[in-house]
Parts: sequence; C-alpha cells; structure tokens
Amino acid sequence: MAMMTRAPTTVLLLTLAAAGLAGAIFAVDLSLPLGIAAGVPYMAVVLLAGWTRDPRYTFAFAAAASLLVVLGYFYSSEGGPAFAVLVNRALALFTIWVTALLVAMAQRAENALRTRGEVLEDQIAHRTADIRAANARLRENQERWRLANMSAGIGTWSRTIPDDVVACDQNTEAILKLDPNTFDGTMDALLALVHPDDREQIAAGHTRLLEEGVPYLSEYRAILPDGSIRVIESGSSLVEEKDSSSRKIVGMLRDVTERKRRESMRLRNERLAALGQLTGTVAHELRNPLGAVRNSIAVIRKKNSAAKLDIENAMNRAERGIQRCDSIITELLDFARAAGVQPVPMDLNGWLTDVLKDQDIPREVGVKLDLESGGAPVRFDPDQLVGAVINVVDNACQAMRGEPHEDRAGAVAELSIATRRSNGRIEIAFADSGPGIPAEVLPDIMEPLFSTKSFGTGLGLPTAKRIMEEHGGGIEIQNREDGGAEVVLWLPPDARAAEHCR
Amino acid sequence: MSGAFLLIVDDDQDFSEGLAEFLELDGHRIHLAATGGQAIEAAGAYAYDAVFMDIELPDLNGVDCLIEIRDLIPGAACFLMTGHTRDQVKRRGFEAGALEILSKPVDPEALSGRIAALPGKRH
Repeated sequence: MAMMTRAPTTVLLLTLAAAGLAGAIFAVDLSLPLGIAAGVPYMAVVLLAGWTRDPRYTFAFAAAASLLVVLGYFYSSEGGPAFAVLVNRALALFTIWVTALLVAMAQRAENALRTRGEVLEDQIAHRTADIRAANARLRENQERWRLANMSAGIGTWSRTIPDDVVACDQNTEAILKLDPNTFDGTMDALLALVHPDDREQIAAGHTRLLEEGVPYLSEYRAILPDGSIRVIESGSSLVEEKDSSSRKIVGMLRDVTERKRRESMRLRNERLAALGQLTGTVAHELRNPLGAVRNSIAVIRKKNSAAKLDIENAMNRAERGIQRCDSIITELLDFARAAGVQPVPMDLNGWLTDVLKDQDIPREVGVKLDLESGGAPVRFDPDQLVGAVINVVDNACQAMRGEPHEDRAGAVAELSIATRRSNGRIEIAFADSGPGIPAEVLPDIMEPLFSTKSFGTGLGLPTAKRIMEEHGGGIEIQNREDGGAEVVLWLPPDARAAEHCR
Repeated sequence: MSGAFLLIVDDDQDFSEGLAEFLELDGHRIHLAATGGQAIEAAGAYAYDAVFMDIELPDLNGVDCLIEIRDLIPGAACFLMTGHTRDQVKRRGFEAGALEILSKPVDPEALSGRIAALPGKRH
C-alpha cells in the first residue's frame, strides 16, 4: 500500500499552524474565567490534522488539545461553580475526541478510496500497455499478411450485410485496377466488373453463403477498366457477429489468368505431343502404301505406252489424289512437329532468300524483297521456321489467285516481303495485294481446323503460329489500309545471337 | 542407254517391288533388301551403282546402315527415303553421305531421271 501521509513539509506546516491555533485558543482560554466552554474551539486543531491524511496525527493533535484543555483548567482564572467548570472541560474533551474519531474515519475512508483508485490506475496502465503491444503485433501481422498477399498476388475484401459496404485492400484494388477515388464501395460496382456470363454464378454463390453459410470458391472472368479480360479465382466465407444483426462476407481473390494460360498451354502441348506421335506413325505408315500406289501407277503408265489404252485421265486423277493425301499428311506432321524448336544463330536474310527461291510461287505473283541490311545473326530453328514462312507465302499466293476483287480489277498480284526490327522485335512481314481477310473470318483464322479453302486441314496458320510461339515470338495478321493482308512473323529480341553464323 | 545396278532397301514389299518393276522397265537391274542386315550383306557381295535406303528399317536405322554400305561400296550413289518430312534426320543423312533425301511417296519418274544422270554406270 502506498504511503498515504502528505509530504513532510506539508505536515510540518500543518503542525505549526495547528500549534499556533492551539496556542491562540489556549491564550483565550486562560484569559477567560473557568466555566466558559473555551476548550471547544480545539476541534479546529483536530480538523487541521485531517489534511495530513494520517489518523495518527489526528489522534496526536487531539491528545495535545486534550492536554491543553486540562492545563487550562489549572491555569485559568477562577470563575463559575465547580460542577459547571468540570462539565465544561468534559464537553470540550468530548468534542475534541468525537471530532478526532470522525476525522480519522474520514481519513481511513479517503485512504482506502485512494488505494483502490491507485490499484485501478495501475491495472488500467497495464491493460493499456498490453493493448498497445497487441496493437503493435496486430499491425505487424497485418503488414506481414499484406506483404505475403502481395507477393502471392492475393487481394482481400469484405462486404457487410445488410448495408452492403464493400471494402477492398490495396492488392484487390491493384488486381481489379480499381480507382479508390471512383469506386463507390458497393457490391454492384464490383459485379459490374464481372463478365456478364459469370455474374449469375457469383450472385448465386453469395446467396448460398448468406442462407446456408457455405464458403464458396469460384472462378470468373473480370473485364477490367482498361478493357483486359482476366480470370479471377475467388473464395468467400461468412463471418457472423454475436449480438449483431449485421454480418460480413470476407473474401480473397487472385488473378489466375497467367496460370490458366500456362495450364492450357501445357494441356495443349501434351495433346499435341500425343497427336504428334500418332500422326508421325500414321504418316509414315500411310506414305508407304501411298508410295506403292504411286509406283504402280508409274508402272501402269509405262506399260501402257505400247498398249495405248485410254487411261490417261484416270491415271492423272489417281496421281492428284495421291498428291492431296500427301499434302494433308504433310500439314498434319508439320502441325504436330512444331514443338521443341532448336534455335541456332542464322543469317535471317540469306536464309529467307534461299527459302523463297525454293518455293513454287506462281509466275503471275511479283515478289518484292525488302531486307534490312546488315542484320546481325538471329537465333531460330530453320527447319521449323521454314514451315511458318511457306504457310504464309502459300496463303498469300492463294489469296491473290482468286478472282480479282471488283475494286481492284487489273491490280497486279504482288507479295512484298520485308525483314525489319521494330520495338526490339525481329519481324518478317508479308504484305499481299489480295482482297484482304473478311472481317468475320479474322478472329477465327488462327484456330486449328478452321479453313476457308475448299480443301485442306485448316492447320496452315495454326502451325505457323505454333512455330512462332515455340520460338517465343508470334504471328500477327491484319488487313492493310490500302488493301490486301499483312502477316507479320516475329521473333523475340533475345533471338538476336552473338555467336557466329552457322 | 545402259542400265544401272541398283539396291532398294525397304521393308514395305509393295513399295519396293512397285519401284523395282518401274525401274526395271527402264532397263535397270534391281536387288531388293527388306532389312539393314540384308542390305549390308548384299553390299558386301555386289558393287551397286546406287542404293535407295528407307530410313525406318525394322532392324537398323537407315542412316547408320548407309554409313556401313558406303564403306563397302564407296562409289555407290546413295539416296535416303523417309515417310517423314523435313526431318532433323536430314542433316545426319547428308553427313552420312546421302546425295538426296527423298520424301515418300517418291515420284518414280523423277527418280528415273536421277538414275539416268548418274555418272559411270557399270552395267
């Protein structure tokens, strides 16, 4: 228990004041005749002791006052009847001690209160320190959580029900490209980002969560303010608050677009590898009998040169059939084989010139070459890239072979092929003077098995795309403003090779 | 026009017999082998003017087989045949000494032209 007495100087001052007061009362007592209750004012001395907060002083002051009352009896001038004088003195003593008892009780009570207050203050101080420490830990954990979420690309959000207030953390804002200044914090504003086809699924999930409390995981497409479409994985659960009518849905979300893309690439590659194995075997197996047929046709032709039967047209049809089978097999093989490129440093321009020389480009098509001079070696797999180039050249030639476009009557069929560096990419651009690609076809043109030709597997451009993607590059197709289509095959900048040309 | 002495190595009998019949009409003399082993044995016994070798043989790889045959008859013109297209095996094939790598189904007329153009036929 803490020391209750006031500071020693205060106690000393009080004692001096009490002594002064007592002296003054004593002097008055002496000057008055006995029989007058001159001892009663001593209770003021006892009251003064109340300020010391220590009952011992109170009793000491009371004892001193009592002594002075008794002394006053002996030294005062005579007066009054003896009985009255004694009663008088006894009353003074009674007053002094009742006052002393009251003051002491008040002091005790005050001291007890003060002690309790100090204990309480102590406890509050401890609690406050605990809460501060807990808050610091919480802030630290929140920061760790935020960092972990940020590096894992996870955003969190919450939605209070029924007032429908949605709060998003910074990660969520970053993932959904939300502008905190314009986001109004409602579920509707969040749902507006979701692809219309996926909204129902999310609304149903929230309803089920609210009705049955079942946490739910979902995957949906979000159309971000910048127009990009991302695949978002999200999970939510319900937090019920006790004694409260409001509830909270808390959720996490993350952008899994890239993972999805890699997964689908992996699946596609696995499928293609299996397809490649199958077509490799089938192609080989088919080409042998096809060869046998072709050889036999040649034998029949030769033997018929003497007999002169009218079989020439039939033989030609058979030959064309073989060639068609053969080109289908080639397309299948090329598509399936366009995996596992082995880039080597090459002189792109020299290689391209050689490849074009070997192509059966129709005589009516004029080829214009515009090769970037002094090109450094480029890394690519020539056996594969040739497939992409041939596909694109074939397509361009076929596009220009069709009936002349009515606006372009008399136009010269021209295929311009250029190599260039653009945005650090290495590009081979093929611009034809054909009718261009119909707008409705453009989105599907890279899809496998999509073909506008009357015959063909529809694997030409997908093969070219696959070959370019295997190189880390790509293919871009667009209609040129002045008519015709332009196809760009591009290789990534690191396709530049420092090594010597092979 | 004097005929050449040719060895066709292919395990597909219909293919090799058809080709042989066609080339015989041109006046060439043909031996057939169905395996790499048979081909090496034949090349040890006869000096062919040209060898047509399928790359996919049941016992040996056609390219390896060709290397052995070239040791036996260095003067023979060697052609590889394959059911695959633009295969990486091409580079190895040329290194092994093949004059040309033909994609199946080969054009017999074109083949006939190649043989006619061969220098120094012995038969």
